[in-house]
Amino acid sequence: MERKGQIEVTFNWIYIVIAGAVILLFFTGIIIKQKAASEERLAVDVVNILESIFSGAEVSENTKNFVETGALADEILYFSCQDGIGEYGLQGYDYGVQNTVDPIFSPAEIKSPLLILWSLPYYLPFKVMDFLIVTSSNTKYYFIKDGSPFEEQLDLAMGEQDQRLSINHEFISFSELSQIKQGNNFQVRLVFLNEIDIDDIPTFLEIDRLTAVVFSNAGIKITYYKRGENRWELIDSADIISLDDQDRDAAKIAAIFAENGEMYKCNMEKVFKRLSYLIQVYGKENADGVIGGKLGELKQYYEEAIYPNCQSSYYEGITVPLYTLKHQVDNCVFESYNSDSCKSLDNTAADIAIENEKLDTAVSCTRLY
Amino acid sequence: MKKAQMKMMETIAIIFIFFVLVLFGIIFFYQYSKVSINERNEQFFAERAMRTTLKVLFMPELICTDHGRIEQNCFDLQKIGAAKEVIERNTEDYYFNLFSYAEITVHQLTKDGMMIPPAELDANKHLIYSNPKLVFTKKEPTYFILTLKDDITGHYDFGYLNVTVYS
Repeated sequence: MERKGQIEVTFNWIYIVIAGAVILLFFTGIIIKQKAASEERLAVDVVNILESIFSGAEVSENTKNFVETGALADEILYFSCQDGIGEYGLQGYDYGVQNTVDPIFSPAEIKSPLLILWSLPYYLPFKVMDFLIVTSSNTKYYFIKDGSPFEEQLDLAMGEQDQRLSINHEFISFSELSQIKQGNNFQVRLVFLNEIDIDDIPTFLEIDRLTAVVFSNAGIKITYYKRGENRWELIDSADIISLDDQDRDAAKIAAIFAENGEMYKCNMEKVFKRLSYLIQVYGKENADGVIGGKLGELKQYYEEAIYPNCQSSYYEGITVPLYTLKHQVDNCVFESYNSDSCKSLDNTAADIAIENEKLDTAVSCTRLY
Repeated sequence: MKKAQMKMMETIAIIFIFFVLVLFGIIFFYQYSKVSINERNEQFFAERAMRTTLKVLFMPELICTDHGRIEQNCFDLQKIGAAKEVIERNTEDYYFNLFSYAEITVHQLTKDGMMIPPAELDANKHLIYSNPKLVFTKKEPTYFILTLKDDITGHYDFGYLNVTVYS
């Protein structure tokens, strides 16, 4: 009897332990699954919301917007662009958004309670796209003063009455460089608007995530550096392709905010791809050699209206450089950003701009754009 | 023997009720998740529709320019004609990434300041992008009033943009 009782008690305990373990395992499994699912959901939500915000910010040209990141202030947002494919999302999560269309210029990583989005239109010579610059309230830019018109342009463009919209920046002289501090900034970038020997820049600054960009060749080339151990390490460089006469030189400003030359060129390639299609809308060369697009329609109208000035102007003045631009931009996209075709784009675009202006002022024809 | 059997039955019944309750909980949670996921998807879908419309409204391929500067909520009629060909030819390699599964149409309502008769409305409809999903779960049309500019004559007309997105 006593033995039987003993067996019964032991059996009950084993039974309870096994059943308890199974139940515990079951609920632990559910919790782990739910945790993974909710993290995944968070990443998806954040990225989707960012996508909407970026789309909205991008189309409102020449505007700045801010986004409070709230609970995500301690998370790292990553941005990258390789082989024409941009990607952004929350670091450490599987879900990120890939984008082959919109040019986004930003640091590689942002960890901040406030994102600043700045949309700038890019013209070559007509409007191609809006660049979206993404930075944060704790990414600081130190501009080393040079008294150039570009410095003035930057000063005007970056400041805002609303502090939340103002890019975290400061114009300093070269001698003040040794006094800069990390402060509450997640990362710091030094911007040299004029050519400088990189070895002249102090490396002893006690700042984490310190990078520098140096403009050279009269502002048409930018070189990216990062601070290594006791010296500045070259990352890469990129040429800047833009028209000179713009109030806000989007290509040049975007270069300051891009993480490196690779990200800059990757985004610019997206822009040139769009330009290639846009040129076809303005005036594509049909298979039979006849001009198509808007230019074709304008030319046809003026032919029917017997307006010889416009006919010749359209044909000689605009068509030839427009075709050249198309040819160059296609080569630029096909070859690489560093090819000669890319470097010639701004000159050809300037020719089109001159001819377009002439159409209106000299011969009273409808402008192409 | 009878007592032990009773006890066993009782334990089984308790376990059975427990798992039934757990099952109810799981079913309830599953249903709740399903509803909330559907709601989220609805929200994302509506956002995508809005985003697509916004992208179309500011497309450099369509928008009017005046001395190089853009005119808001205005499409250039000469560009529309050219853009639909370019977009159609490059849908797969470029414009699908921009609009995904959608249909974009510009409807012209007036011509030279006069209302277009209903019978001629179809002839003044411009299909800019057409890539509908053949088997879709949802579709969301959005409409937006536009001015349509004839850049040659400088006349402005009225029309509307219809962007339908598919999921």
